[in-house]
Amino acid sequence: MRTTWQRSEALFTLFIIVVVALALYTSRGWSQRAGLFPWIVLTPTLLLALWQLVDDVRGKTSPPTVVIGDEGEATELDTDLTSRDTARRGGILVAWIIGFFAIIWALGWGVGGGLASAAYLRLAWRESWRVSIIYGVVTFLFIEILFRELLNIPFDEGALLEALGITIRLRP
Amino acid sequence: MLDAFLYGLVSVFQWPAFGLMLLGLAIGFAVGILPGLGGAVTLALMLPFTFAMTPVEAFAFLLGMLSVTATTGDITSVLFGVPGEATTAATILDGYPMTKRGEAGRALGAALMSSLVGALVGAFALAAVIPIVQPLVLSLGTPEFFMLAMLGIAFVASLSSGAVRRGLIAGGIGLSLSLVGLDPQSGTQRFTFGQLYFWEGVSLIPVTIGLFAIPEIIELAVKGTSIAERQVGKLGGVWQGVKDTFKYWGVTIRCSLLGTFVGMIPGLGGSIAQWLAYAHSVQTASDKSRFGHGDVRGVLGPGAANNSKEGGNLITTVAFGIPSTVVMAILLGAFLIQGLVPGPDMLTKNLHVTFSLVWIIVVTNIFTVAICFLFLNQLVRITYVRASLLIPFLIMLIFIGAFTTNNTYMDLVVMLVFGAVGYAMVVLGWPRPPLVLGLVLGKLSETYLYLSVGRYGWEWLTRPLVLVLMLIAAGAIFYPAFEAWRARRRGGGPGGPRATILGTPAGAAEPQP
Repeated sequence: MRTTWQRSEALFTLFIIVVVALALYTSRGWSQRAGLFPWIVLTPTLLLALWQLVDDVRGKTSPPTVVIGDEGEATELDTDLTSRDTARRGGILVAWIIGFFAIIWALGWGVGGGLASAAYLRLAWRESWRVSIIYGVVTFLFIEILFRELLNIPFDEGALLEALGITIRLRP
Repeated sequence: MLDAFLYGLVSVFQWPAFGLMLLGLAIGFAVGILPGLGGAVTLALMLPFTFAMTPVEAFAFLLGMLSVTATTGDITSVLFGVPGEATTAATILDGYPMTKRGEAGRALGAALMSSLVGALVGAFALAAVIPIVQPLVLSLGTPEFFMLAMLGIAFVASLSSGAVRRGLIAGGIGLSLSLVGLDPQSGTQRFTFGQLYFWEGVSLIPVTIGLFAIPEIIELAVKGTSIAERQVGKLGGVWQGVKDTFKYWGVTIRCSLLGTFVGMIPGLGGSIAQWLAYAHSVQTASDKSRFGHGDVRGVLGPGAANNSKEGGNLITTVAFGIPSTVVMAILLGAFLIQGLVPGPDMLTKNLHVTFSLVWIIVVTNIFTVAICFLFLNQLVRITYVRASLLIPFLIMLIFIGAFTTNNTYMDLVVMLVFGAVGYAMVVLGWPRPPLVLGLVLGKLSETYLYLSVGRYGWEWLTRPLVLVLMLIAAGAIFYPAFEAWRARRRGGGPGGPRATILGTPAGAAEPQP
């Protein structure tokens, strides 16, 4: 294994093998009725994944030469998508996605969604306060009016606001 | 019959049925564009409002809404690379690269016009095929349905050009995911980790959103620009797409018919039609090298099949009471609310209602495409919005889309997990569609297998049609390897241009199996 891509590929295949093997192990005590289809599916999947790993380790697999969907950009993935700068920017967004989840869970969909959107614009992209605040308010109204009021989606109030006994809605 | 046919048309244009159809159209338009918030969820939400309506009014409202989502779902697929509906994911493969290339208008024109052609073909099929389809579907047993499901997975995996083994592994993982939950036969808890949430299994929507939407959003953030990399031609581009629909009329019509037929087969009518249509578009093309990079034929095929399948879906739902998809299962609930019993009655005394379904599909699709064309330039401008403003909007949409599946935060966790998996698959060149297909087909396949073994023992494996389907599946898996071997023998070497199909780049294909 010479490149970052090949190491990542082998690790991913190994991850699949572990998951499938654990699933197969878990199913060992099931009756034939419950286990027939899982065994039929999991066994060949595991064998194919092991075969794939062998090829990965032997270096028989090679990285894609083009980024998916990028017309004409014959960019090596191990020097582009896995580059440090790209990984950093991707990692920041992943952190923000998790942050969105945490804020929405704590503050509810309307308030949390609006706040997370505004914070993301201000902190991650250095948008102006004005744009960020307007965006946050529009997001709040969008969620409250379209989804809660018109589509009656049962959003909760957020764990933190519920604990504090606070309700922030367009209509009580 | 002609009387019922005409009465069906007139009843659609009567008030308030026509007004309700326009209302359904407006809701469907919004829902179709919003990723994740699909037709099934909206139908379920709107079903209670149909109690006071007549059958034609109820179906004008519900089916009008449903018909639109199939078309407008393509818009987000093309513009954002985010499937507006789970059934429009295949449009991304070539539609989104076209947008990146600055051909969003052309891609949308092709998607919309092929959708209209597909819808008309599907509606015509619904009108024409009902009297003759019954013996066809009833001649198939559970072993054949099981093999059809396996064939679907083998077919899609084989399209992962040069990475068939990875495609099969992904398909196996998808099938395994479908096993999560209570075993329908014995009630055994399978892979539930003792969590109540997993008793109902892993939902398709969070998985689909995670696999397809999150990697695209990450890519958008990484690039830090708007989706469109070049300026889009305005109406010229759109009309080019419309012309493409008729230039490649063979692909459009064949994929429409394919979608209609697949739509008739229970369980295969949802997401699968688009993938099979895409596969057909690729396989019948003389020059495959541009597929995956923005070939308009890769938009036409799924666009046509996605809309024509609705007519096919309705055939089995109306004629046999067998819903082919989740959406049709919900629509079946509307039949029962209206006091209509699917089956012979729908072909005799309620024939005008059946024909009204045909006309609703036709009229709503014409309206939808007309409205889309009128506002296409506004829609295309969305791609110029800078990434910073798009990303939080998309994050909120995918969060809400995943949440509305079961109204639980666990769906968001599932979506995030599969977002990570999807991103890894994109970076490493693993095909994602077989995974989704496995998840869609898993439960149904298991039921078919269980019934086949219970009824025929292992003798079902020797049924002629099963053997034929097995041979086709084997051919689908081994043909790419044979083709590669033949290319090597001819001296072309492995490095020649290869099609990029179903998300797997050509370069990933060599030399790995």
